[in-house]
Amino acid sequence: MKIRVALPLLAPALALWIVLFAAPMVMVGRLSLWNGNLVAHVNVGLRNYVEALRDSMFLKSFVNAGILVLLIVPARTIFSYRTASMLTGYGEGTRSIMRFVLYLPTLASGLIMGLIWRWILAKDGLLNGALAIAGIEAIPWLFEAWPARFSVAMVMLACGVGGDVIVFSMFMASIPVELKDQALVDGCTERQYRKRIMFPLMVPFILLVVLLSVSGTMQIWETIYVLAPEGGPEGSIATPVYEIFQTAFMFGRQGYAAAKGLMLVAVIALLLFTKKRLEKTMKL
Amino acid sequence: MKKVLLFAIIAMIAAVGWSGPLTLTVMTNGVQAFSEWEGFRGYAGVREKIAAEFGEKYGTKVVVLYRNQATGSMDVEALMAAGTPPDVWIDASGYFFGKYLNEEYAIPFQKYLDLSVFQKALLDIYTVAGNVYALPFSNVGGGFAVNKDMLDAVGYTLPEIGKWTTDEFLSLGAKLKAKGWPATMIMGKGGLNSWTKFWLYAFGAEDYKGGNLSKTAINSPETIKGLAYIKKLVDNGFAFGNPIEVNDDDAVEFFTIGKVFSSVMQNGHTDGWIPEQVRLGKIKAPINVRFTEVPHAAGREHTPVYGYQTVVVAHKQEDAQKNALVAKLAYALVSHEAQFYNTLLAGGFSTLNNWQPKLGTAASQTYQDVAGLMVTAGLLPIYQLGNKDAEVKKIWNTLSEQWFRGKLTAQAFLNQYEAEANKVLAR
Repeated sequence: MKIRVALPLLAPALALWIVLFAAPMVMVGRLSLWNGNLVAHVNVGLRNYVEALRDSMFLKSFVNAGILVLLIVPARTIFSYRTASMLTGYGEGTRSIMRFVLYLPTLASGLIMGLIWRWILAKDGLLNGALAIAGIEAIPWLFEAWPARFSVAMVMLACGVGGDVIVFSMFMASIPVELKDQALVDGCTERQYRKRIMFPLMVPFILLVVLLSVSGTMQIWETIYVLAPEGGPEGSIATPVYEIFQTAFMFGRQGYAAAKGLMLVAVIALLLFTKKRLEKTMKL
Repeated sequence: MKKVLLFAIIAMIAAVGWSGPLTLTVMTNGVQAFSEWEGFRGYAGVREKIAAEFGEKYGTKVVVLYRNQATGSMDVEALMAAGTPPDVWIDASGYFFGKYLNEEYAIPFQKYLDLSVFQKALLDIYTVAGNVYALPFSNVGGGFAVNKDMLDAVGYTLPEIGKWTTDEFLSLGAKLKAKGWPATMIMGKGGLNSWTKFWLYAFGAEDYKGGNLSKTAINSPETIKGLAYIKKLVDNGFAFGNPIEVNDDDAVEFFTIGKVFSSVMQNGHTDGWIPEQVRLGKIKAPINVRFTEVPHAAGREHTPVYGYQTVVVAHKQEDAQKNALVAKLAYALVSHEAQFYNTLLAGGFSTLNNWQPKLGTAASQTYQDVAGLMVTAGLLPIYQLGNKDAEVKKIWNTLSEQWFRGKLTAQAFLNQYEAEANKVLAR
């Protein structure tokens, strides 16, 4: 009886989910078993998956993503959490303006941000120009592996922090005001409130933001495509999604790219599972 | 009842009889307008004109389809899968045709046409086991562009084609360096650039041997010598800038503003860019440019120049009569008339024997230099690798970049490349 009532209510959303998610996933699953594309192909079973596991470039892309995660995610999370936390002390008007300013870079597409940053990071670009004024030698931002990784991290921080600040602000706003009032009445300082009450309440949301940042970092591709085509010096900034893009659209191997894509989905699902376990262990 | 049946039969016969002439399809790349000829639809206009005339002459209807290269729509594979392959298709060789140049798909043109009008070297590229599966329509060539003003300034006379050696180039490099001019562009940004790769061919290196595209032949002593030479050019300060920071775009930019003595490129680059650099105020007057061969190692005759062709392929069908007609249509599309427009307006090189026009874009000195070079120095073969081309290039680029940075020895770079590329090529 409940299903009879629920189904018509769920139907529109379910239909969209089937058309936009489930069906494409099934098609990608089928495609991953083919050598070729949707039009011309030969069934190769699980061979694409075996090949992906032996593909040094694909495996390296996960190492690259891991390094980028270490460079981006902690800095991004700490900075956006601290900023959002700081903003709670201001009035609504100031908070809105600050959030808007921080969110502005996020509105521009990765391609546009990549183009702007390519100009900033060029050998004779804005950043090296500023360093020259300070008497510091030009840094080959996009020509050496580590500077290139830091460059990507810089761009992603500039573009991603705003979104995270909004998310944290939203979650912080959902903490009942009474809790803070009560704590202050009990003699808690502002600092103690943030550390002992607000932070533990925010941990599940911090984990969520970290998970989204990690999965987002693995999926950066357009910024890399613009900043340093070919995946940067010695392929040092090629992420898994950049690899998948190359495989599908530059090498014309859509079947193989689909297999790589599903392997990435599995990795992200594993991260999600880890987050859930962590929450359970931490009794959140 | 009988009358109705009779009427129906007559109607059916009439319908079949009136179903119209045989329709042939030509698939080509997008419409590219010739800027010099306003309102004229470029190659498309020429092809449509030839198709219409062909249809009139042979009582057929010829439909020209346009493939959108940017979106990949209507490519040969899609039309094949739909059961409606085009009878004739025209596109740049290498990327699209690799797997179709065989008995199963393509008409062997020599069975239907007299091919003696084409340059043999170009036909050879598309000849498999004695069968010619593609007709070259336009040849886009390149060579070693040198700055004649710099040569004059150091008092050096350019040797005849085929007489310039790599050792002599080193001694010229020292003279140019004394004047503050780097001798050449060594392009290592994102890997050893295909324009820089000519220094390997100068020593006799080959990408593939004997038409065997299932394994690379680049791991050879000749390549090692070529790599050592590239390193020598860099170490002696004869290369422009830091090789890992420059690519072919930089080569065109810095050569056309007179900052570097030489680089491999196309005459279209110099002819188009030098006037533009004057217009932009980067140089006061056009620099004097000539095209010649990349110097070759002592003991070798030539370093080949590069060129790629637009080719025409015809789809083989069961009907022999139709095959003959389709071959004729393909021939019409690469005819003297089609090539005349191409050379006159778009700077392409003729693929026909003993016919190099000297009109329009073909009148420039650099065009004539390159046209001559392709005959004397020979053309680097175009490899029909299809999509695998990008895959092996990625391996090459990554490893060669590591070699440029000193992280791999030349031998280790080539060994690793051979192992990884062969996996892709054998697939």
